[in-house]
Amino acid sequence: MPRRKPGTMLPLETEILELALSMLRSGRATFHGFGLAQTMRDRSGSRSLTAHGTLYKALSRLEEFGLLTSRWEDAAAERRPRRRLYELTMRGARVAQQARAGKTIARSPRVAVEPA
Amino acid sequence: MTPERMAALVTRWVRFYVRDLPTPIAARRVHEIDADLHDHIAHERASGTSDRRIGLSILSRMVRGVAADVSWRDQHAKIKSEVSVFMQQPVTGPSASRPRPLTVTILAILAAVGGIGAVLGVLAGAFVIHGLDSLDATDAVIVIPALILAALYLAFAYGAWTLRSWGWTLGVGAAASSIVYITAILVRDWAELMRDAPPLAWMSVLVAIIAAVGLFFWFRPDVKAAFGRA
Repeated sequence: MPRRKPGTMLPLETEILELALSMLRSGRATFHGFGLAQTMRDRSGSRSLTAHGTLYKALSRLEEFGLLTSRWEDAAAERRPRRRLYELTMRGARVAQQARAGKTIARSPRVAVEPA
Repeated sequence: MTPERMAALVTRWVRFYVRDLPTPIAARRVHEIDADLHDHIAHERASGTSDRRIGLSILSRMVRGVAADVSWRDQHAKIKSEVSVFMQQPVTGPSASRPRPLTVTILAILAAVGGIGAVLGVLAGAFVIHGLDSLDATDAVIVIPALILAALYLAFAYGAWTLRSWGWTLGVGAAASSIVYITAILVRDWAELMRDAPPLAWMSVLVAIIAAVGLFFWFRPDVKAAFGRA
């Protein structure tokens, strides 16, 4: 994983925000870790899923920045463990839109890297 | 290699690196990875992927994420330590205020197991070469320092595990002594070792190299800080 320069976001974090924005626009407000890893794999055409540590560390940081929020799903359906559901915040949507518009996060407001 | 077995391995790794982090943070990570592993296996099986390939994929995700896991843990352990100092909680021991970096844990385990193993190995080598009955005064030069080193390693393992300030000194001392000791033995008995027990000779070389690498880690700022020597 590349080292982070102060005031910047990692490409993976930007990618997560952009995907979250796409999902929000297609009516899926929440997403979970494995679903996200799967979507990223399908989108990039890669054969492997994002590593656990890399993925959940990135999600955790985005949450610290106030760009995502998360909660446990209400009840475990289909006799499976409860998933942690993530959702883009207004602030996160703004940053994702800026990223999508071609601005680098390095040049975008420091809001992107300051914990909420 | 069943997917369930690989998932159990990942769960054990997660439980290892979240140990002694605040319970809500640790529990969240454990449950989140559990759900991920469950979804992963269910999805791949539904897609007709073979169990072997699923297992390898789970293992690959774990291995590729180890560095991020360790960095995430260090970050949360640091926060916990800062909060603990801020709250001025009663300190019951050095480890109560300073989290033990994973590097120190690994070094302590490696040093304790590898160090003692190596010392015992060299002793065994001496017996192999000279025979139990023909041990003479010159062999005491090997045996006594080896026993002292073994004791040093045990004390060091305890000191590192509990982050005693003397643990760092002992760690550096043990690593440096091992290098000197093993080098001296190898210089003295290299020919005999290569003739009678070549694996032992190469293992000793390997242990000396590991000790040298360990020495490098002991001087890393985060390791020194964990022992209160920053």
